[in-house]
Amino acid sequence: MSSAKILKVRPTKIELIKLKRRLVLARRIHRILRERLTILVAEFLSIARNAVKKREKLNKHFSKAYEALSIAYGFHGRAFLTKEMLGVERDFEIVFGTQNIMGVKVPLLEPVDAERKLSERGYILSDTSLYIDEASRRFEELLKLSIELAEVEKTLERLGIEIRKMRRRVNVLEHILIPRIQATIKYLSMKFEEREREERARLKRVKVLLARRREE
Amino acid sequence: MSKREILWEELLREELLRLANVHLPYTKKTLKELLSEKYPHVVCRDGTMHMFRRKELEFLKNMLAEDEWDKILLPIIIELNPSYGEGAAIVRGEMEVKVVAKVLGLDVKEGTKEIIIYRPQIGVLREKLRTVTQIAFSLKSIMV
Repeated sequence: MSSAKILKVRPTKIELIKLKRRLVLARRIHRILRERLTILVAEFLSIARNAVKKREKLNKHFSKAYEALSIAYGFHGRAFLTKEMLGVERDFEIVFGTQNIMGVKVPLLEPVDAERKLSERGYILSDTSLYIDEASRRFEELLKLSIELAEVEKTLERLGIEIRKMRRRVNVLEHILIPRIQATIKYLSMKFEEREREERARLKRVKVLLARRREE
Repeated sequence: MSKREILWEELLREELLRLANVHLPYTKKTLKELLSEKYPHVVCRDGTMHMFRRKELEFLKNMLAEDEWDKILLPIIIELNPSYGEGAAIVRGEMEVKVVAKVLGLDVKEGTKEIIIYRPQIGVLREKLRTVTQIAFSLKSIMV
């Protein structure tokens, strides 16, 4: 605290009162920001754990999906599979919204019909095998997982940015603003005490002088 | 202190309160209302939209009886309250308490209107019901 700079203020009692009020307010803001930071960090860690799990799951699904596709290619041949795939293209609906985590706007993505029934996939079931069904199912799962992961990773990014900003604010209050106000209050209090002491000494001196004059 | 300064201080306090809880909704909605909406959402104080995940709403729907769907107001507010200690929070409302207790596996009496939970429990609750819960700062934590 002693090394903290002093604010440029007029050495008056009014200024001291104002500074004391400002200190109370700064402490209050600091406490709220710190609390908010703690919550944001807890949310961040919980989402980060979730993101890691989802990423691992997605990687596993990727290898399984491509494995199933390779088997389907091997069984039917490239030409046949390409021909069947032409008819299965579709529009894919995702509900995009936002959620608010402690004032941070993060995305919310919800796939509407990522996984379709066997009959809705678009290829002729009598001409195809179980291998195509398996590959389709796995890729649909993959799509759903990718959307979930996209949401989680974007959330992490936004929370990370907010945490960084919040930490800076908390640090500024904790290490610069509050110590400066405290140092200024201390400086002003000492100055007033010093002034009071000087005043008392002066009065004593005047009293002595007056007494001496009266004696003369 | 002049009147102007007092007013200024009051304004700052109001601002503080507003900034701390901008993510809270203007009005809450019942589970029944939200289930009937195509895109279940509420509008927050900062003007942003807070959407609810349908999976979480379905979870609550299965947890509560049908006549309770219009008694629970969402999002459930987890109110951080310093008077109960650092990291302690309070959840108010009969239905809200019932849901929180069930999710956390706590044993509460029928008709309990308030429940105090702690930071690890808040974590568990938020992990399971991220969109249907919101954390708020209590008036005390801002004004004290």
